[in-house]
Amino acid sequence: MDEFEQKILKILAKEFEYTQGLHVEVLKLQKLTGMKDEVNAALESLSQQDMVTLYTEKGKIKLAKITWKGLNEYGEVSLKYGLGKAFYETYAKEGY
Amino acid sequence: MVDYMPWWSPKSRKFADEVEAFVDSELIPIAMKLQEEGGDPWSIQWQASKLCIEKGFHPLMVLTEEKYGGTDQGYTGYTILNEEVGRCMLNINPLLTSVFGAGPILLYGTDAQKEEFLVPLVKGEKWASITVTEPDVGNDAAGVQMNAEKDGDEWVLNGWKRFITLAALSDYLMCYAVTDPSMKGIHRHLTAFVVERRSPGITVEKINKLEGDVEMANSVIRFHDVRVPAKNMILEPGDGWTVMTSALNIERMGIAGVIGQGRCLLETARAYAKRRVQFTEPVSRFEAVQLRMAEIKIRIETARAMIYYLADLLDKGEADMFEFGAKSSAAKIYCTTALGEIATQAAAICAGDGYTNEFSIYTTIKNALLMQIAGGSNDILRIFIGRNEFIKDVDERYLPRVLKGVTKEEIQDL
Repeated sequence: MDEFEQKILKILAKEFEYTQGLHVEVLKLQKLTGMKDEVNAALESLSQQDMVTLYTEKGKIKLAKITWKGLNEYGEVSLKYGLGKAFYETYAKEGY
Repeated sequence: MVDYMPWWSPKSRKFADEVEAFVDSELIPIAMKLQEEGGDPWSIQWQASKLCIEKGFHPLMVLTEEKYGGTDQGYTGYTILNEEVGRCMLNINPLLTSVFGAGPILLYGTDAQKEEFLVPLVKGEKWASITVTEPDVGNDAAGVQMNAEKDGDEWVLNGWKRFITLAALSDYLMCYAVTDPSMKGIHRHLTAFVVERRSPGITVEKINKLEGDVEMANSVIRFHDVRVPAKNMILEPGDGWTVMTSALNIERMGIAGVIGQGRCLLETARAYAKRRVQFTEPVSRFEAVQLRMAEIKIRIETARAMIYYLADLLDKGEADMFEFGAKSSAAKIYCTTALGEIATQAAAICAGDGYTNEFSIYTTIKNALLMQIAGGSNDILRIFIGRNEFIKDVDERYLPRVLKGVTKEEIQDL
């Protein structure tokens, strides 16, 4: 996995932290990175490694989502979004 | 980009652009921070409300003439502001409550009353609440039991009011009290008063805890021998019913916030459906989801057209007030029902994610249910609209032949 593929994987992992059930639009990945063809190439490569799943329309990649394998590669994720600043402290205090 | 109505003046269009920029740059960041970090809805709504005042976007300021500190944007401006603020899903209850409380002063106040009460309300230095509901008075608004007796240059008020938004914090309470019970049959029994909330004899007896995300210090208040100067009376004794029903039109026009909330849910459902893949496709490609989106869109467009049309009628002074009450009631019923239906469709599209509080969908359903009972419940308004229709004479031009019956021509030879 090259450096750019790692970057794409990180972005997809960060998106997973926000919403676990949704894909990411490729247009957004292109906007975030300022790259176009490179994003498509990285996604295809990551897909071949089973790190991401893709949705394509008429041969064009439209959506991408990190897989469990990709998340294992990425490491720790923190699904804290929307739970408030002190959520984990409270959670820990309650013994979970 | 704001979706201008074709009849908006250049002034309204400019105002819409300014409001849109204000909401994007000032209010959306507050809403995002609230969603990300959590927070106290009470302090957030005050923060948002004070920001609106600071930047000149108090809905009361928008409705008020320039000579009393307003920006005179009319009902179109008022509707634009409510729609735009609605789309960031932030409460500005203190501001709207003040508008509803100040409505009678705005519509019928004398110059002196406007100088004394309206000017500080417009500046956001003072706050007002409307008080109609009582322990035994809900839909039967004409059945108000609060009593007012004249004593020299003062009126003495006794009674209880219930479900009064922000009453504990307001400076003025717009009260309706019985001044002549014998005139109830012709709705001339009530009189409207502006009452200083801190007057001796007024006590806040309870603050209700509410569902939804609405933190409104919703209160039960007691009036025990509260003395009100006669100068605080709106119009004349017996005019209270007219004042109340006209001022409620302002409250009903404030319902435009639901269009903004509906637009917010439309975008939420759109974003979700385009990115949610099931059966190897985004769910936006499924007709079942497209039909639900269509139902959302139909309601937003219809609600928007209704409200802006009514605002334009008021601004141009072309509203027949007898007919307008029915029209504004119809819009209120439609918009509040539509918001509940929009939220239900959005909930179906966003499924499990929609049930998390990150999506605000179920909170919107609760808020829609509140709006369906506030400002005149939808049921009582339906009865009002229906009765109104039977008060009118039949327009014979529309009738089938059998209902036209015998004509003049037929009896010429008789």
